[in-house]
Amino acid sequence: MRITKLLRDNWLLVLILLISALLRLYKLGSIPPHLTPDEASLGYNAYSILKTGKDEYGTLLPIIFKSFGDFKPGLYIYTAVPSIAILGLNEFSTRLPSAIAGIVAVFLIYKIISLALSNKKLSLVSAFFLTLSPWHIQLSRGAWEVNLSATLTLAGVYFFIRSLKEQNSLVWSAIFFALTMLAYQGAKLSTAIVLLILLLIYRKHLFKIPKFTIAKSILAGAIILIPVVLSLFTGKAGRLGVFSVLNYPRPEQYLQDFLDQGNEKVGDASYYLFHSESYNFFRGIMGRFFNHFSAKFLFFTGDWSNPRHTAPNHGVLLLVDVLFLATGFFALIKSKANKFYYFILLWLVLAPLPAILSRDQVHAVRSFNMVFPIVIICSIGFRYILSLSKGVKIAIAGFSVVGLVLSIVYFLDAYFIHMPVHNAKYWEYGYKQIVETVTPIQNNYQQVKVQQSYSQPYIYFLFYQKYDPVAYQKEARLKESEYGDVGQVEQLDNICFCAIDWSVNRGEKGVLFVADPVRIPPEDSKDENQFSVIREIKYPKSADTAFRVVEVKL
Amino acid sequence: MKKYLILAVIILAFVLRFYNLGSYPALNADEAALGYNAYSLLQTGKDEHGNPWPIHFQSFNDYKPGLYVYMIMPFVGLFGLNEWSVRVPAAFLAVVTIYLVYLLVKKVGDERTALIASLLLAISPWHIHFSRGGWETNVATFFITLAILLFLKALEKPKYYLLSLISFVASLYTYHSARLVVPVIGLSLVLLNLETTIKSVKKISVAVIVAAILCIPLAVSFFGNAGLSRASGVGILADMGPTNLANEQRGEHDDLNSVFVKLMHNKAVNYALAFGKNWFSHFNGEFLFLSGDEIQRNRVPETGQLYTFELITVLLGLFILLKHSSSSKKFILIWLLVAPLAAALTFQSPHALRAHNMVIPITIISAFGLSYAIDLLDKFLKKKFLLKLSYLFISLIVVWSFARYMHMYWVHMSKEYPFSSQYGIKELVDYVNSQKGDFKHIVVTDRYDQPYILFLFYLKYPPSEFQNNHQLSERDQYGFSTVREFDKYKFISITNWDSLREQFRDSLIAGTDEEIYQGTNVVKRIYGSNGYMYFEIVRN
Repeated sequence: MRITKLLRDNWLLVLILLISALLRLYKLGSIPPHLTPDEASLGYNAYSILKTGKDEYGTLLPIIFKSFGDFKPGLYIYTAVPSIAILGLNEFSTRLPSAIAGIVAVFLIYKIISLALSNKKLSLVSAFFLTLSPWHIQLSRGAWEVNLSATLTLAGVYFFIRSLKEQNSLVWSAIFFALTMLAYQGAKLSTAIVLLILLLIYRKHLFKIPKFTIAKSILAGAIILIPVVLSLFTGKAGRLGVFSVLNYPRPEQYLQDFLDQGNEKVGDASYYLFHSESYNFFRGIMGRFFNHFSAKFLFFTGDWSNPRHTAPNHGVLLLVDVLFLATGFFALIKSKANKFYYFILLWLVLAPLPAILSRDQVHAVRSFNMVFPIVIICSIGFRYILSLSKGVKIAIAGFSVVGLVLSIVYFLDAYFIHMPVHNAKYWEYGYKQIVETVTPIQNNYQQVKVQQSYSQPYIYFLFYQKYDPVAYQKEARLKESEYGDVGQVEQLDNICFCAIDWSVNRGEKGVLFVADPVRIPPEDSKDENQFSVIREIKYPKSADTAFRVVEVKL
Repeated sequence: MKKYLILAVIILAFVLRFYNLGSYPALNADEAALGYNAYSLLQTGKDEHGNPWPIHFQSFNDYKPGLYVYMIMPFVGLFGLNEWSVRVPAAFLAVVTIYLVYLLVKKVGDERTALIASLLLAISPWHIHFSRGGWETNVATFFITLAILLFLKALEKPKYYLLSLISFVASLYTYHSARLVVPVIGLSLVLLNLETTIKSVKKISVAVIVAAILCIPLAVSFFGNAGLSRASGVGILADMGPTNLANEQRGEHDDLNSVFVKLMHNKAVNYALAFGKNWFSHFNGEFLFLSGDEIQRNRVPETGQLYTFELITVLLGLFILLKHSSSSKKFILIWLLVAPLAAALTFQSPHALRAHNMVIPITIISAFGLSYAIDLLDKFLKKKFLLKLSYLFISLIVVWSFARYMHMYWVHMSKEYPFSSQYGIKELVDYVNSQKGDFKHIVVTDRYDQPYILFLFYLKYPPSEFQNNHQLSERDQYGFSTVREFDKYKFISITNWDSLREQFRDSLIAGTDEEIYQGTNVVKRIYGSNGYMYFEIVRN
């Protein structure tokens, strides 16, 4: 009885959640078209934990996991353990936790808006817009730790706002905020930003909360964070050095040439006034900041530095959001000041900070938290348009609804039809097919040589062969990079992951080779007496070859 | 007191625009064409190619809108054919524009904001850049601003409608993009003030009829072949990208010939998206506040179209204009949105030159923002000392930003972008002219933009002799033509050095240091005023 009543009262919310589940679960195993190395690594480590309680390197139940080039907090791996236990080790089960986190996020947005603005219609619209958000769908579909972390952030925000009335919720808020940092490397900064804004805006409310409750909350958060804090001191805190924009000053020659134009020198007054390195960094950071607010990123091209982060020829938002975003800002300006609005606006401005301090020109993953304030502002705009009721304005409302439907269709087409084909290469398409081809015949050869790359071919063999974790833990060996960047694994049973130089390798009789057509040129492997082409792995719907599997005959 | 302040701003604007106006930056090919065509008209009543009193000047087959050429004629007549004559009218009208903006903002807002707006425009990198040179776009912006000011006056005194429309028409005769932007601006002015304008329907109708009649010659010339050819050359449809993309997208579908697929992926959708992307690019922070236009001729190193600090003042200005909007304030916002329309229809976006009239509304908005910031400080900083300190801080930021721009403009621009204007040609012409008696041919590389027109300009070559003795080449892929030879002068691509020497005996050859074969006996090296070596000269 109670359940049917609950459904009847909230049927719209239930419908929205069903849609969000559909959009996040449909063909989850095959779209995106291939696992990224990071996804495969998360999946295999969860499998390893499931079978042995240890990660691929044999560490017992780690909280910070050793990854290809760095150490990263591993909450995602633990969330994947149950789904892999039930569904087996495959793409779907590896991606499932993020998809579920995405659905929960839709629910949380609904709860947050209901609570903060006591506006049921607006909260439904927000949930609906998050459900349809290309940015949110993109990162819910795939084992993106950032999405898990973002959902935990929303939970933290929800309980924080609830604590303004029910003070004990503050403890839960602290727990969820702390958990974000166990889920995602970048959350150290992005969660700190959210926390700082909340503390700044709601400081007066916080003073009313009993000291004991605050102490409890801090303690709860601190306990969860112990491993993260320890990792900072043991050098297991990620590749900050490689990523930070501040590690990339102007090339000396460039600066020298520029200064020579005015007979200036480093150290001159005019150098410090007009050409200083710190001002140059400021310009670089501002440029990245503007990129994240450019229409190119938001509406037209998407993440041009990392094509894997968006559907092809599509921004991180729906096209019609142009209209809703503009009206949303307009409605905010016209409305009375409200603490929650300040929170949303400040969050929007500061959310790209982790992305703009890093080397990429634009980065949809590191700036992911932007999606929430944007969705809320769009919802406010949409509500505002629908509340208009006279003459021309009805036409505008009709136009927006039609625009919304068209934009959704356009995005779904870009995502479900074009991305698997157009972006297959960026999703490392081909490694699954390699493993499928090589595994049944692997033992017919003394040695199999697979082209080494930063796509980490070894992890795909572990993943798709469901390689026995006990056995792998004994032989696991990652060759560290000289530059403090990503390392690589070079040997797995009779498979060697190595550089392939066909002019040398073509003479190695009885060896099976796997490499791209540049490394094994088709013109130079035609002779059927010498070579046998086992398989040409093509990109989907394309004449282009991703990899060639070629045997050098005995 | 206030009168003196606006006077001071205008003097500042004048100094910034007229200081070294004749020599920096070097004259570019378009300016030389404007000047030489004015010279040609003065002497013969025909343009360089022999067309009598044209409305569009054929020039490099780009058919330049002609009003500016007629405006510089008296200056060429009085002061001779030189850089100064070509540039003074534009620079002068730019200074007048600053006063117009002062009057305009006084009408829309208050005196203090008006002063701030005129000051910000006086030191605006976007406005200064295109004031210092024979840029038609800057003159069109002057006419548009004047027309809008007159229109706002006409709301009180309807007799001004006619003058306002005449000024709008003048802008159409001056610059291509005005032809798209101005009708939209005019229409929104009428519609925004419908309650007032509807009362003077008669006066407005008369003005519109007069304007329409004034536009007839322009329309005839435009649809003749002049304007359209230009539009098809730089227009968005000339870019095949969106068409190719549509084909690629269809190919990624299984059912590529279905109605659904064709409705999703076609030229209309993709060009509309391209237009949207172009239009939005004019509001990108990188363009506005950090690095400016990508085309070297239109930019200054490490400088945005506006100052970086104006990010804050523009945002505050938008906030305050939206918060308390009257119809005339709303108009400023609409102007801002309309200004880049024409530029967005061309395939190089964002484009500081074609969207130039944006500088006026955005500077006004920035002024509203700065004015509002001062209000906020007055309200929140109770202590006099803190208030003064914050004023000092703001002034320091403005002065520093301005100083950095000046440094970049005067010290770095011509050296960082040595090909942004035709440096070195004046020096080359001087030298060649002194030697030409000894040679059969003077051969000059065509590596730099349209050398023939700069030679004509600096030689003050008699137009009557040129008009009948030259050939305009076929259009290149961008729709431009050039002249390959006149008199003793030949302008060619230097590719094969040996056959060139064979072909032109007893000649003087000027090429870039990459074109001139190493080890050849170079008799003279020509440096531009920026110290860059542009030509090596060989006696053959």
